[in-house]
Amino acid sequence: MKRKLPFFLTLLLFLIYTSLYADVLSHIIFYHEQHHLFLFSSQYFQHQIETAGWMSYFTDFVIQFFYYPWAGCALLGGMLASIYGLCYLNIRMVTGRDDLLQLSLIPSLYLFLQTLSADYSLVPVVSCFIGLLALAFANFWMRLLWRRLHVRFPSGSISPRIHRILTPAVLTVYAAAAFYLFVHSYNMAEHRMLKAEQAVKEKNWEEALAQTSQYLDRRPNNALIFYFRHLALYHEGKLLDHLFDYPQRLGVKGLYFPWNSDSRESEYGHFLYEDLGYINEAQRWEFEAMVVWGETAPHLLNLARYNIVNHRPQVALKFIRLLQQSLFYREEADKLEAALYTGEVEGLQNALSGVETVPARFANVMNIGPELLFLCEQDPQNRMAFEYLMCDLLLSNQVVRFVEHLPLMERFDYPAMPAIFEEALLMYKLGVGEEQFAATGFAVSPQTEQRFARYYELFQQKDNYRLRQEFGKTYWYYLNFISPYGNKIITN
Amino acid sequence: MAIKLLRISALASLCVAGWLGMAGCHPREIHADHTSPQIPRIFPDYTNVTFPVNIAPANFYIQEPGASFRTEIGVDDEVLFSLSDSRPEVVVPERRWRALLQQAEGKNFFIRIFVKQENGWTQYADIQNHVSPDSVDAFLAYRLLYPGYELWNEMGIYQRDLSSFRVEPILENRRIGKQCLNCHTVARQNPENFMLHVRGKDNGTLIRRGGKVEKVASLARGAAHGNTYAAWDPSGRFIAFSMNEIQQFFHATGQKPIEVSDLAADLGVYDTETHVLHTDSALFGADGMETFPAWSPDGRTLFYCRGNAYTRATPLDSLRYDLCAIPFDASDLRAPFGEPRCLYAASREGKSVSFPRVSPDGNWLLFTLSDYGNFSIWHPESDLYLMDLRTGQFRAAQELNSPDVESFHTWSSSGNWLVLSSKRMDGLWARPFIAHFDTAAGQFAKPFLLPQKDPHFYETFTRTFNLPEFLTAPVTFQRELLEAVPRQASDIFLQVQK
Repeated sequence: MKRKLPFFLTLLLFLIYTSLYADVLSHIIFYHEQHHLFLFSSQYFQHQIETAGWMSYFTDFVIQFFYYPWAGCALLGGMLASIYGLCYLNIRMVTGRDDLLQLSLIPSLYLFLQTLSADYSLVPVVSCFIGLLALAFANFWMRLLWRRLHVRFPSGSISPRIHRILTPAVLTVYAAAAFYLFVHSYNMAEHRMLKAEQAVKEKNWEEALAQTSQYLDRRPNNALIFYFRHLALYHEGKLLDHLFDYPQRLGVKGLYFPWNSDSRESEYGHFLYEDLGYINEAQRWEFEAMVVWGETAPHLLNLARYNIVNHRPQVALKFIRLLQQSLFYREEADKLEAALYTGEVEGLQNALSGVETVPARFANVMNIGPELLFLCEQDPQNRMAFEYLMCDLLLSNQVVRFVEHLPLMERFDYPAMPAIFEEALLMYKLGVGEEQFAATGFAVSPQTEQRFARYYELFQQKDNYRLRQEFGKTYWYYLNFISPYGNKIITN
Repeated sequence: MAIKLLRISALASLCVAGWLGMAGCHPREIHADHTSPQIPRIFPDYTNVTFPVNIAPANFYIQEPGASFRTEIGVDDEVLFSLSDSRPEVVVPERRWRALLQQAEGKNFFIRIFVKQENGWTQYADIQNHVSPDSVDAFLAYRLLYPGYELWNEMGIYQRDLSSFRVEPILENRRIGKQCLNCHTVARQNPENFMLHVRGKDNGTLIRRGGKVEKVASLARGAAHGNTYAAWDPSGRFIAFSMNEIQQFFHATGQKPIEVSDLAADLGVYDTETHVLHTDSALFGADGMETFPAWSPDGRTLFYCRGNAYTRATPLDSLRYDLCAIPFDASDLRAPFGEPRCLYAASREGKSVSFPRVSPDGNWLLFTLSDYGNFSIWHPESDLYLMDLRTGQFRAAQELNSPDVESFHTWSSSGNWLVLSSKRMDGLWARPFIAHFDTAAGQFAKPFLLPQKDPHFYETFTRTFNLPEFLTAPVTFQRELLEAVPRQASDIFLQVQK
């Protein structure tokens, strides 16, 4: 048993690590795969060696296999487990003694705990693995020398009884410490965010809603989570009915990212613009992201797609050629190359295709409102642009402009006026009076009037608890208590 | 012993078989089964171009489909060397290329291509190129970065030995905390007088002069905007700077991604000896925007572009710049500027001028013309125009232009060569093209793409070549530049001539 223990422990560690990476740490595998791309080209090799070094090159080589999550789990788990096994082997070869205190476990556990954060580079893991492997070969080559030294400096023997007691005790301490550190280091919020991102990328909207709900149940303020949630709600046809399910304390910043030259945010802006069919803005965000985060597969694929539908085949081809040098994205790249001159990519539409470019119109990168209106004007059937425009106006307290643009709704086949629209209309009606309201051609249902009467009653009673319980998901409550722009309607 | 002999015999047999195999694949002489009157398609397009006698091998690949390829290169009727391969890449050994250039100096050389297709070998019409005895400056400096929008990560200024493929960094931003580096400029292509801007926490301008690197503030005391585009005067004492407020705007529609526009711009001449930035009411103030300075070779005239002032109501696509000049007298620094004059009122024709550059003999001025704005690198319609300064006449330099962007350009120290940034290959990435210039006739030869060792280099290289500029000698003070970056910048002072 004593001799088999290292093998058993290596195997056990492999199984534990692999299962963790396959389950609660699956976001780590996804994150690394999305942020690295290994290319089989001399240009890539030269650039990596000059700028990042050999170990980074090897790390990227390993990470490319994370394309298949099971392979990523096994590889990362295998390397970390091997770090223990190789440590043990090297200690054994050099000292000729067993690792009584199981010190060999420390590097493996330490590195594993470090990988709990998505931002932790895997270069130390790969470097440690390669270094220990090389050391093991060197020690094997020098084994005769080590044996001679072992003879000269004989070790004191430890009784099997002590060994039997010490080993389980030491292992228990390591296991307890590792468990404690794991629980305290594990970042559930990061897990939810990355899983939500993965779901958005895969257009798995139900999963995106599930992840964002679970996140918001615990932590109410996160622009990215709201951003993903709104996308998912729209695609599930629920945006207008569930906009205020969670308190929108960020206002319009939960709807889109104003351009703040923020490198982290640059990764996400393109999702919204792509879905809106606003290809120039999607391309701009994605290009900025590539500049900051490197030539990775998601950026290259999207840039190729956007440039194809924007009829810039030679630009798209550059990104495609890079992807063709990868192991796992070659097939997708080939498909895009086949569509290069068609101007069409499956699942992607350019809502502004054919729109006059003279005089030049420039995007408002700080406020999406004018852009949504522009999309509604140029692409009248763009339902997403309409819903986002309405949400943007409501979230920014611009009820008057909301009512001005509400007639756009007639372009779409909504079975009924969404409740939040009626709530906003009622606010407008109360502000402008019956006569002016009647001129809009809209009506507020008696039920909404009754609900507002109840809301107002609770409001007068200052019964905040019941107000939140009964009306926390209404526009009235947002306007009175949540909006970061104050509790007044903006009229200009 | 017997085993050793056996091994040697086996190895020798393998070598012979290998050689025979190679010979079988790539015959030493080709008898064409067919001939084509067309010249073959090759990339880069090294056809009918003029190479300098000291350029690196112009490697290319053959774009005609085939199973085997043979390329013969020679002068007059003599084939100097040939290359055969099953791959279409033609990578010429440097030694053979140099011998070719020497032999072809002042003459044409041919590239004869045979392609083995299903119906046998096809011989294409010979490609003819010319070798000029005029050598080009030995190095090319340029900045490499993504042709992005606002964010940046990796960038650097590099120098390329034009007679080989050797590239080395002058300064890379990964060595200085990823700050932005820009606007590297030299005087008369001599790197002894060299400058560049650093933008970031170590904001400032590094100026190398008289063997020393000095760091000065990029914003003169009394000026509203920082020093931006630069031009060294030929003496190396003065640097003309534009002081710009620049903003990026993003096109909502169409294929043009971005507009980089001045919101304000003034011009001044910085005296490196006194740390004073001299300017004039004609070049400084809210009445107009003056930018893109360029000196005449005698240093007595400063050329620049001038547009109307920007206001919030000004549509960006109505901003246009004229080509102007102003006398400069270095002997009277209390009032160095004379009366400005307009050389070409491009705005009246709905056009806009940028990047004026005067040839070293002072006879020619090359500028970029686009529909509006002055950041022509983002304007596909931008073309180069050549003005004869002796007559004031100008023409489109059609021999340089393409349907896509031609923008930044600089002359070689002799004036026989020009390097220009063009996006003709794909519309996004600027590539350096080099063209020969006949100084007497005022004619350019067809430009050729800067050769690279790998003929496919440009197809996957995603950095843009920014501000290509010839150097007569390599920059050797990289360490001094690096050490100067974190230094405190010296103040510079604005002096306005009324």
